[in-house]
Amino acid sequence: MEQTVRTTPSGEPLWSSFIHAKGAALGLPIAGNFELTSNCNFNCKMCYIHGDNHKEALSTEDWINLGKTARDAGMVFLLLTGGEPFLRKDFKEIYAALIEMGLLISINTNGSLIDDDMFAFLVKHPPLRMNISLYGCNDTVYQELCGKPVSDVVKHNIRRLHNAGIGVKINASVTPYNASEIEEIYAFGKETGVHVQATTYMFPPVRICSEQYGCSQARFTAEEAAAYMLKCREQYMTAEQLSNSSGLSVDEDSDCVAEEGEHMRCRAGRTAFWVTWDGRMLPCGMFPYEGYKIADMGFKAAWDAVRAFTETIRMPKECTGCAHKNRCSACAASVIAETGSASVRPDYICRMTEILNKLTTEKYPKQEDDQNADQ
Amino acid sequence: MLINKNVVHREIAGEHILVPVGETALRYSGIFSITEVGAKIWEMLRDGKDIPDITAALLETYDVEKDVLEKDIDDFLQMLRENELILE
Repeated sequence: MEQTVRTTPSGEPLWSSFIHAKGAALGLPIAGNFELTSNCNFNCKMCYIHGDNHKEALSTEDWINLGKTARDAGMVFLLLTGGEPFLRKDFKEIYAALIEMGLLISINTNGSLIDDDMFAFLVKHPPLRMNISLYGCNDTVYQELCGKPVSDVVKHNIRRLHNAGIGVKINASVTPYNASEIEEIYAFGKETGVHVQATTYMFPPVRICSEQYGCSQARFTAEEAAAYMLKCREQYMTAEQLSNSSGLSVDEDSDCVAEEGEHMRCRAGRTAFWVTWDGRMLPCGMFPYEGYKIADMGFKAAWDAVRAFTETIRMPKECTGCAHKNRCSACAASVIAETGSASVRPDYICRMTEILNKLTTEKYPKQEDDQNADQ
Repeated sequence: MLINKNVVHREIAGEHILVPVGETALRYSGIFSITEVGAKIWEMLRDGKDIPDITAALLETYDVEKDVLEKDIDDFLQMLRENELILE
Protein backbone atom coordinates (compact mmCIF):
# COMPACT_ATOMS: atom_id res chain seq x y z
CA MET A 1 0.00 0.00 0.00
CA GLU A 2 1.29 3.47 -0.90
CA GLN A 3 1.83 5.67 2.10
CA THR A 4 1.84 9.43 2.03
CA VAL A 5 3.99 11.17 4.61
CA ARG A 6 3.25 14.85 4.98
CA THR A 7 6.44 16.81 5.42
CA THR A 8 7.68 20.30 6.26
CA PRO A 9 9.43 22.30 3.49
CA SER A 10 12.76 20.91 4.78
CA GLY A 11 11.49 17.37 4.21
CA GLU A 12 10.93 16.44 7.83
CA PRO A 13 7.74 14.46 8.51
CA LEU A 14 5.11 16.89 9.75
CA TRP A 15 4.33 14.91 12.90
CA SER A 16 8.00 14.88 13.88
CA SER A 17 8.21 18.64 13.50
CA PHE A 18 4.94 19.04 15.42
CA ILE A 19 5.92 16.82 18.36
CA HIS A 20 9.33 18.50 18.63
CA ALA A 21 7.60 21.91 18.76
CA LYS A 22 5.14 20.68 21.39
CA GLY A 23 7.95 18.96 23.29
CA ALA A 24 10.03 22.16 23.26
CA ALA A 25 7.12 24.11 24.75
CA LEU A 26 6.67 21.50 27.48
CA GLY A 27 10.37 20.77 28.06
CA LEU A 28 10.18 17.13 26.99
CA PRO A 29 13.13 15.00 25.84
CA ILE A 30 11.61 13.91 22.51
CA ALA A 31 14.80 12.64 20.84
CA GLY A 32 17.56 10.66 22.51
CA ASN A 33 20.96 9.50 21.35
CA PHE A 34 22.51 6.51 23.12
CA GLU A 35 26.23 6.07 22.57
CA LEU A 36 26.19 2.35 23.34
CA THR A 37 29.94 1.87 23.25
CA SER A 38 33.24 3.70 22.91
CA ASN A 39 34.65 0.79 20.93
CA CYS A 40 35.03 0.71 17.18
CA ASN A 41 36.52 -1.87 14.85
CA PHE A 42 37.59 0.94 12.52
CA ASN A 43 40.39 3.37 13.26
CA CYS A 44 39.29 6.35 11.18
CA LYS A 45 41.82 9.13 11.03
CA MET A 46 39.29 11.96 11.52
CA CYS A 47 37.33 10.35 14.38
CA TYR A 48 37.43 10.82 18.15
CA ILE A 49 36.77 7.11 18.73
CA HIS A 50 39.73 4.71 18.61
CA GLY A 51 40.21 1.16 19.95
CA ASP A 52 37.94 -1.84 20.28
CA ASN A 53 38.72 -3.37 23.66
CA HIS A 54 37.55 -0.82 26.21
CA LYS A 55 35.39 -2.23 28.98
CA GLU A 56 31.74 -1.31 28.53
CA ALA A 57 30.71 1.12 31.26
CA LEU A 58 26.95 0.56 31.11
CA SER A 59 25.40 -2.89 31.28
CA THR A 60 22.61 -4.35 29.19
CA GLU A 61 20.13 -3.57 31.95
CA ASP A 62 21.47 -0.03 32.34
CA TRP A 63 20.68 0.83 28.72
CA ILE A 64 17.28 -0.87 28.79
CA ASN A 65 16.30 0.88 32.02
CA LEU A 66 17.51 4.18 30.63
CA GLY A 67 15.37 3.59 27.55
CA LYS A 68 12.31 2.96 29.73
CA THR A 69 12.89 6.06 31.82
CA ALA A 70 13.46 8.24 28.77
CA ARG A 71 10.41 6.81 27.01
CA ASP A 72 8.24 7.52 30.05
CA ALA A 73 9.60 11.08 30.04
CA GLY A 74 8.49 11.53 26.41
CA MET A 75 11.24 10.11 24.19
CA VAL A 76 9.88 9.15 20.77
CA PHE A 77 12.99 9.04 18.61
CA LEU A 78 16.18 7.24 19.57
CA LEU A 79 19.49 7.07 17.73
CA LEU A 80 21.77 4.19 18.70
CA THR A 81 25.36 5.07 17.97
CA GLY A 82 28.87 4.54 19.24
CA GLY A 83 31.62 3.77 18.53
CA GLU A 84 30.29 0.95 16.47
CA PRO A 85 27.06 -0.24 18.15
CA PHE A 86 27.16 -3.70 16.55
CA LEU A 87 30.37 -4.42 18.47
CA ARG A 88 28.32 -4.85 21.63
CA LYS A 89 27.74 -8.54 22.23
CA ASP A 90 24.38 -7.68 23.82
CA PHE A 91 23.27 -5.41 20.97
CA LYS A 92 20.31 -7.64 20.08
CA GLU A 93 19.09 -7.81 23.65
CA ILE A 94 19.27 -4.04 24.15
CA TYR A 95 17.79 -3.24 20.76
CA ALA A 96 14.90 -5.71 20.98
CA ALA A 97 13.89 -4.35 24.39
CA LEU A 98 14.03 -0.75 23.14
CA ILE A 99 12.04 -1.40 20.00
CA GLU A 100 9.33 -3.22 21.96
CA MET A 101 8.84 0.02 23.92
CA GLY A 102 7.47 1.70 20.78
CA LEU A 103 10.52 3.88 20.18
CA LEU A 104 11.36 4.99 16.64
CA ILE A 105 14.96 3.83 16.42
CA SER A 106 17.72 4.79 14.01
CA ILE A 107 21.17 3.22 14.05
CA ASN A 108 24.50 4.76 13.11
CA THR A 109 26.93 2.11 11.89
CA ASN A 110 29.95 1.59 9.71
CA GLY A 111 28.09 -1.33 8.14
CA SER A 112 30.91 -3.84 8.44
CA LEU A 113 29.61 -6.10 11.24
CA ILE A 114 26.15 -7.00 9.96
CA ASP A 115 26.51 -10.70 9.26
CA ASP A 116 23.70 -12.94 7.97
CA ASP A 117 22.40 -13.56 11.47
CA MET A 118 22.28 -9.85 12.34
CA PHE A 119 20.75 -9.07 8.96
CA ALA A 120 17.91 -11.53 9.62
CA PHE A 121 17.43 -10.06 13.10
CA LEU A 122 17.16 -6.50 11.69
CA VAL A 123 14.65 -7.58 9.07
CA LYS A 124 12.57 -9.18 11.83
CA HIS A 125 12.86 -6.08 14.03
CA PRO A 126 13.36 -3.25 11.53
CA PRO A 127 14.64 0.12 12.72
CA LEU A 128 13.16 3.33 11.36
CA ARG A 129 16.43 4.03 9.61
CA MET A 130 20.03 2.86 9.36
CA ASN A 131 22.65 5.52 8.73
CA ILE A 132 25.55 3.65 7.20
CA SER A 133 28.92 5.29 6.61
CA LEU A 134 30.39 4.72 3.18
CA TYR A 135 33.87 6.11 2.69
CA GLY A 136 34.44 4.92 -0.85
CA CYS A 137 34.04 2.00 -3.15
CA ASN A 138 37.47 0.39 -3.00
CA ASP A 139 39.59 -1.24 -0.32
CA THR A 140 42.65 0.95 -0.83
CA VAL A 141 40.69 3.95 0.40
CA TYR A 142 39.12 1.98 3.25
CA GLN A 143 42.51 0.70 4.36
CA GLU A 144 44.02 4.15 4.22
CA LEU A 145 41.22 5.98 6.04
CA CYS A 146 39.77 3.35 8.39
CA GLY A 147 42.40 0.63 8.59
CA LYS A 148 39.95 -2.04 7.38
CA PRO A 149 39.62 -3.13 3.73
CA VAL A 150 35.90 -3.91 3.88
CA SER A 151 34.26 -1.80 1.17
CA ASP A 152 32.51 -4.79 -0.41
CA VAL A 153 31.02 -5.90 2.91
CA VAL A 154 29.68 -2.40 3.59
CA LYS A 155 28.22 -2.05 0.10
CA HIS A 156 26.66 -5.53 0.35
CA ASN A 157 24.98 -4.61 3.62
CA ILE A 158 23.69 -1.27 2.33
CA ARG A 159 22.23 -3.03 -0.67
CA ARG A 160 20.57 -5.92 1.14
CA LEU A 161 19.14 -3.83 3.99
CA HIS A 162 17.66 -1.38 1.48
CA ASN A 163 16.30 -4.22 -0.66
CA ALA A 164 14.71 -5.77 2.44
CA GLY A 165 12.64 -2.62 2.90
CA ILE A 166 14.61 -1.04 5.75
CA GLY A 167 15.19 2.70 5.48
CA VAL A 168 18.88 3.24 4.74
CA LYS A 169 20.87 6.44 4.35
CA ILE A 170 24.50 6.63 3.29
CA ASN A 171 26.60 8.98 5.39
CA ALA A 172 29.70 10.00 3.48
CA SER A 173 32.40 11.82 5.42
CA VAL A 174 34.75 13.22 2.80
CA THR A 175 38.35 13.77 3.87
CA PRO A 176 41.68 14.15 2.04
CA TYR A 177 41.96 10.34 2.19
CA ASN A 178 38.79 9.60 0.23
CA ALA A 179 38.07 12.77 -1.78
CA SER A 180 38.77 10.77 -4.94
CA GLU A 181 35.70 8.65 -4.17
CA ILE A 182 32.98 11.33 -4.26
CA GLU A 183 31.67 10.34 -7.69
CA GLU A 184 31.80 6.63 -6.87
CA ILE A 185 29.88 7.07 -3.62
CA TYR A 186 27.11 9.05 -5.31
CA ALA A 187 27.06 6.61 -8.24
CA PHE A 188 26.56 3.76 -5.76
CA GLY A 189 23.75 5.73 -4.11
CA LYS A 190 22.05 6.26 -7.49
CA GLU A 191 22.49 2.64 -8.49
CA THR A 192 20.99 1.31 -5.27
CA GLY A 193 18.42 4.06 -4.74
CA VAL A 194 19.89 4.94 -1.34
CA HIS A 195 20.10 8.61 -0.36
CA VAL A 196 23.63 9.95 0.16
CA GLN A 197 24.34 12.64 2.75
CA ALA A 198 27.89 13.87 2.40
CA THR A 199 29.87 16.37 4.37
CA THR A 200 33.36 17.71 3.90
CA TYR A 201 33.34 19.49 7.26
CA MET A 202 35.07 17.42 9.94
CA PHE A 203 34.83 18.36 13.60
CA PRO A 204 38.21 18.64 15.32
CA PRO A 205 38.31 15.53 17.54
CA VAL A 206 38.15 17.55 20.75
CA ARG A 207 36.42 14.83 22.74
CA ILE A 208 39.68 12.94 22.96
CA CYS A 209 41.97 15.91 23.29
CA SER A 210 41.01 19.42 24.32
CA GLU A 211 44.35 20.59 22.92
CA GLN A 212 42.88 20.08 19.48
CA TYR A 213 40.44 22.98 19.35
CA GLY A 214 40.40 24.01 15.72
CA CYS A 215 42.89 21.31 14.76
CA SER A 216 42.40 18.13 12.81
CA GLN A 217 45.14 16.31 10.99
CA ALA A 218 42.64 14.50 8.82
CA ARG A 219 40.60 17.27 7.34
CA PHE A 220 40.78 19.65 4.42
CA THR A 221 41.74 23.27 4.55
CA ALA A 222 38.60 25.42 4.59
CA GLU A 223 39.20 26.22 0.92
CA GLU A 224 39.41 22.55 -0.04
CA ALA A 225 36.40 21.63 2.10
CA ALA A 226 34.35 24.24 0.23
CA ALA A 227 35.52 23.07 -3.20
CA TYR A 228 34.79 19.42 -2.43
CA MET A 229 31.40 20.33 -0.94
CA LEU A 230 30.50 21.93 -4.24
CA LYS A 231 31.69 18.78 -5.98
CA CYS A 232 29.36 16.73 -3.76
CA ARG A 233 26.44 18.98 -4.62
CA GLU A 234 27.23 18.66 -8.31
CA GLN A 235 26.59 14.93 -8.00
CA TYR A 236 22.91 15.35 -7.17
CA MET A 237 21.93 18.90 -8.10
CA THR A 238 21.34 20.32 -11.58
CA ALA A 239 23.09 23.47 -12.80
CA GLU A 240 19.79 25.29 -12.42
CA GLN A 241 19.40 24.12 -8.83
CA LEU A 242 22.98 25.15 -8.07
CA SER A 243 22.44 28.59 -9.57
CA ASN A 244 19.55 29.05 -7.14
CA SER A 245 21.31 27.45 -4.20
CA SER A 246 22.99 30.45 -2.62
CA GLY A 247 20.74 30.06 0.40
CA LEU A 248 21.90 26.52 1.11
CA SER A 249 24.04 26.03 4.16
CA VAL A 250 27.33 24.17 4.04
CA ASP A 251 25.58 21.09 5.37
CA GLU A 252 22.06 21.68 4.13
CA ASP A 253 21.19 18.03 4.39
CA SER A 254 22.04 17.84 8.06
CA ASP A 255 19.82 16.15 10.63
CA CYS A 256 20.46 19.11 12.91
CA VAL A 257 17.45 21.15 11.84
CA ALA A 258 18.38 24.79 12.17
CA GLU A 259 16.13 27.28 13.87
CA GLU A 260 16.65 31.00 14.11
CA GLY A 261 17.65 32.64 17.36
CA GLU A 262 20.40 34.10 19.42
CA HIS A 263 20.69 30.89 21.40
CA MET A 264 21.60 27.54 19.92
CA ARG A 265 19.82 26.98 16.62
CA CYS A 266 19.22 23.25 16.85
CA ARG A 267 17.19 20.93 19.06
CA ALA A 268 20.08 19.85 21.28
CA GLY A 269 19.21 20.56 24.90
CA ARG A 270 15.71 21.68 23.98
CA THR A 271 14.07 18.45 22.86
CA ALA A 272 17.15 16.31 22.23
CA PHE A 273 19.79 14.81 24.49
CA TRP A 274 22.81 12.57 24.19
CA VAL A 275 24.00 9.88 26.60
CA THR A 276 27.69 9.06 26.35
CA TRP A 277 29.00 5.50 26.53
CA ASP A 278 29.72 6.02 30.24
CA GLY A 279 26.31 7.42 31.13
CA ARG A 280 26.78 11.20 31.02
CA MET A 281 24.05 13.36 29.55
CA LEU A 282 24.95 16.17 27.13
CA PRO A 283 22.85 18.31 24.79
CA CYS A 284 24.77 16.78 21.87
CA GLY A 285 27.59 14.26 21.58
CA MET A 286 29.89 16.73 19.91
CA PHE A 287 30.23 18.82 23.08
CA PRO A 288 33.63 18.22 24.75
CA TYR A 289 32.17 18.69 28.23
CA GLU A 290 31.67 16.40 31.22
CA GLY A 291 27.90 16.72 31.15
CA TYR A 292 25.70 15.26 33.87
CA LYS A 293 26.07 11.76 35.26
CA ILE A 294 22.67 10.10 35.08
CA ALA A 295 23.49 7.40 37.65
CA ASP A 296 24.26 10.10 40.23
CA MET A 297 21.51 12.62 39.43
CA GLY A 298 18.71 10.59 37.91
CA PHE A 299 17.38 11.09 34.39
CA LYS A 300 15.04 14.01 35.08
CA ALA A 301 17.59 16.08 37.01
CA ALA A 302 20.19 15.43 34.30
CA TRP A 303 17.72 16.51 31.60
CA ASP A 304 16.79 19.63 33.55
CA ALA A 305 20.51 20.43 33.95
CA VAL A 306 21.14 19.92 30.22
CA ARG A 307 18.26 22.26 29.39
CA ALA A 308 19.47 24.90 31.83
CA PHE A 309 23.03 24.64 30.48
CA THR A 310 21.80 24.96 26.90
CA GLU A 311 19.95 28.15 27.80
CA THR A 312 23.26 29.73 28.85
CA ILE A 313 24.99 29.12 25.52
CA ARG A 314 25.28 32.11 23.21
CA MET A 315 26.51 31.91 19.65
CA PRO A 316 29.21 34.37 18.48
CA LYS A 317 27.90 37.91 18.20
CA GLU A 318 29.44 38.13 14.73
CA CYS A 319 26.96 35.48 13.57
CA THR A 320 23.92 37.61 14.38
CA GLY A 321 24.35 40.10 11.56
CA CYS A 322 26.43 37.93 9.25
CA ALA A 323 25.45 38.04 5.57
CA HIS A 324 26.10 34.29 5.36
CA LYS A 325 24.01 33.43 8.41
CA ASN A 326 21.41 31.45 6.50
CA ARG A 327 24.04 29.63 4.44
CA CYS A 328 26.15 28.57 7.38
CA SER A 329 26.01 25.34 9.33
CA ALA A 330 27.96 26.56 12.35
CA CYS A 331 26.38 25.22 15.53
CA ALA A 332 27.32 25.64 19.18
CA ALA A 333 29.18 22.31 19.21
CA SER A 334 31.18 23.06 16.06
CA VAL A 335 32.01 26.57 17.25
CA ILE A 336 33.30 25.12 20.53
CA ALA A 337 35.26 22.44 18.65
CA GLU A 338 36.84 25.13 16.49
CA THR A 339 37.58 27.76 19.12
CA GLY A 340 37.12 26.35 22.64
CA SER A 341 34.17 28.68 23.23
CA ALA A 342 30.62 28.89 21.86
CA SER A 343 30.87 32.64 21.47
CA VAL A 344 34.09 33.01 19.47
CA ARG A 345 33.98 33.42 15.69
CA PRO A 346 34.82 30.03 14.06
CA ASP A 347 37.15 31.21 11.31
CA TYR A 348 37.45 27.83 9.58
CA ILE A 349 33.67 27.50 9.18
CA CYS A 350 33.32 31.16 8.16
CA ARG A 351 35.94 30.72 5.42
CA MET A 352 34.41 27.46 4.24
CA THR A 353 30.95 29.06 3.97
CA GLU A 354 32.21 32.19 2.21
CA ILE A 355 34.28 30.23 -0.31
CA LEU A 356 31.53 27.71 -1.01
CA ASN A 357 29.17 30.56 -1.75
CA LYS A 358 31.77 32.32 -3.94
CA LEU A 359 32.66 29.18 -5.91
CA THR A 360 29.00 28.33 -6.45
CA THR A 361 28.09 31.86 -7.55
CA GLU A 362 31.04 32.05 -9.94
CA LYS A 363 30.45 28.68 -11.56
CA TYR A 364 26.66 28.81 -11.47
CA PRO A 365 25.62 32.48 -11.70
CA LYS A 366 22.08 33.23 -10.63
CA GLN A 367 19.72 32.97 -13.62
CA GLU A 368 17.63 36.00 -14.52
CA ASP A 369 13.98 35.08 -14.37
CA ASP A 370 12.64 36.66 -17.57
CA GLN A 371 9.06 35.82 -16.74
CA ASN A 372 9.24 37.54 -13.40
CA ALA A 373 11.08 40.46 -14.96
CA ASP A 374 8.19 40.93 -17.41
CA GLN A 375 5.58 41.02 -14.68
CA MET B 1 -11.58 -8.50 16.45
CA LEU B 2 -7.89 -8.85 17.26
CA ILE B 3 -5.47 -5.99 17.42
CA ASN B 4 -2.07 -6.51 15.80
CA LYS B 5 0.26 -7.38 18.68
CA ASN B 6 3.12 -5.78 16.78
CA VAL B 7 1.70 -2.31 17.35
CA VAL B 8 2.46 -0.18 20.41
CA HIS B 9 0.12 2.62 21.51
CA ARG B 10 1.91 5.60 23.05
CA GLU B 11 0.80 8.93 24.46
CA ILE B 12 3.25 11.81 24.37
CA ALA B 13 2.18 15.24 25.60
CA GLY B 14 -1.47 14.41 24.96
CA GLU B 15 -0.77 13.13 21.45
CA HIS B 16 -1.55 9.52 20.64
CA ILE B 17 0.40 7.40 18.20
CA LEU B 18 0.40 3.78 17.10
CA VAL B 19 3.92 2.50 16.41
CA PRO B 20 4.33 -0.65 14.31
CA VAL B 21 7.16 -2.82 15.62
CA GLY B 22 8.55 -6.10 14.34
CA GLU B 23 7.97 -7.07 10.72
CA THR B 24 4.84 -4.88 10.53
CA ALA B 25 7.25 -1.92 10.53
CA LEU B 26 8.69 -3.07 7.20
CA ARG B 27 5.32 -2.42 5.57
CA TYR B 28 4.39 0.67 7.56
CA SER B 29 7.51 2.61 8.38
CA GLY B 30 6.88 5.37 10.89
CA ILE B 31 3.79 5.96 12.98
CA PHE B 32 0.04 6.45 12.88
CA SER B 33 -1.15 9.59 14.64
CA ILE B 34 -4.63 9.07 16.12
CA THR B 35 -7.07 11.18 18.11
CA GLU B 36 -7.91 10.78 21.77
CA VAL B 37 -11.16 9.02 20.84
CA GLY B 38 -9.25 6.74 18.48
CA ALA B 39 -6.90 5.93 21.34
CA LYS B 40 -9.87 5.02 23.56
CA ILE B 41 -11.22 2.72 20.88
CA TRP B 42 -7.78 1.14 20.47
CA GLU B 43 -7.46 0.53 24.21
CA MET B 44 -10.93 -1.03 24.37
CA LEU B 45 -10.13 -3.29 21.43
CA ARG B 46 -6.94 -4.29 23.23
CA ASP B 47 -9.00 -5.16 26.29
CA GLY B 48 -11.15 -7.48 24.16
CA LYS B 49 -14.28 -5.30 24.04
CA ASP B 50 -16.60 -5.74 21.05
CA ILE B 51 -18.05 -2.94 18.91
CA PRO B 52 -21.43 -2.65 20.74
CA ASP B 53 -19.54 -2.35 24.06
CA ILE B 54 -17.23 0.31 22.61
CA THR B 55 -20.14 2.23 21.12
CA ALA B 56 -22.03 2.18 24.42
CA ALA B 57 -18.96 3.32 26.37
CA LEU B 58 -18.33 6.24 24.01
CA LEU B 59 -22.01 7.27 24.02
CA GLU B 60 -21.74 7.57 27.79
CA THR B 61 -18.66 9.76 27.52
CA TYR B 62 -19.41 12.01 24.55
CA ASP B 63 -22.39 14.08 23.51
CA VAL B 64 -22.88 12.56 20.07
CA GLU B 65 -25.67 11.02 18.01
CA LYS B 66 -25.48 7.24 17.91
CA ASP B 67 -25.53 7.00 14.11
CA VAL B 68 -22.76 9.61 13.79
CA LEU B 69 -20.64 7.75 16.34
CA GLU B 70 -21.20 4.40 14.64
CA LYS B 71 -20.09 5.88 11.33
CA ASP B 72 -16.97 7.39 12.94
CA ILE B 73 -16.09 4.09 14.63
CA ASP B 74 -16.62 2.27 11.36
CA ASP B 75 -14.31 4.69 9.50
CA PHE B 76 -11.65 4.33 12.19
CA LEU B 77 -11.84 0.53 12.11
CA GLN B 78 -11.59 0.63 8.33
CA MET B 79 -8.36 2.63 8.61
CA LEU B 80 -7.00 0.17 11.17
CA ARG B 81 -7.99 -2.75 8.95
CA GLU B 82 -6.46 -1.28 5.78
CA ASN B 83 -3.17 -0.82 7.60
CA GLU B 84 -3.25 -4.24 9.24
CA LEU B 85 -3.37 -2.71 12.70
CA ILE B 86 -6.32 -4.96 13.47
CA LEU B 87 -6.81 -8.49 12.25
CA GLU B 88 -10.26 -10.02 11.76
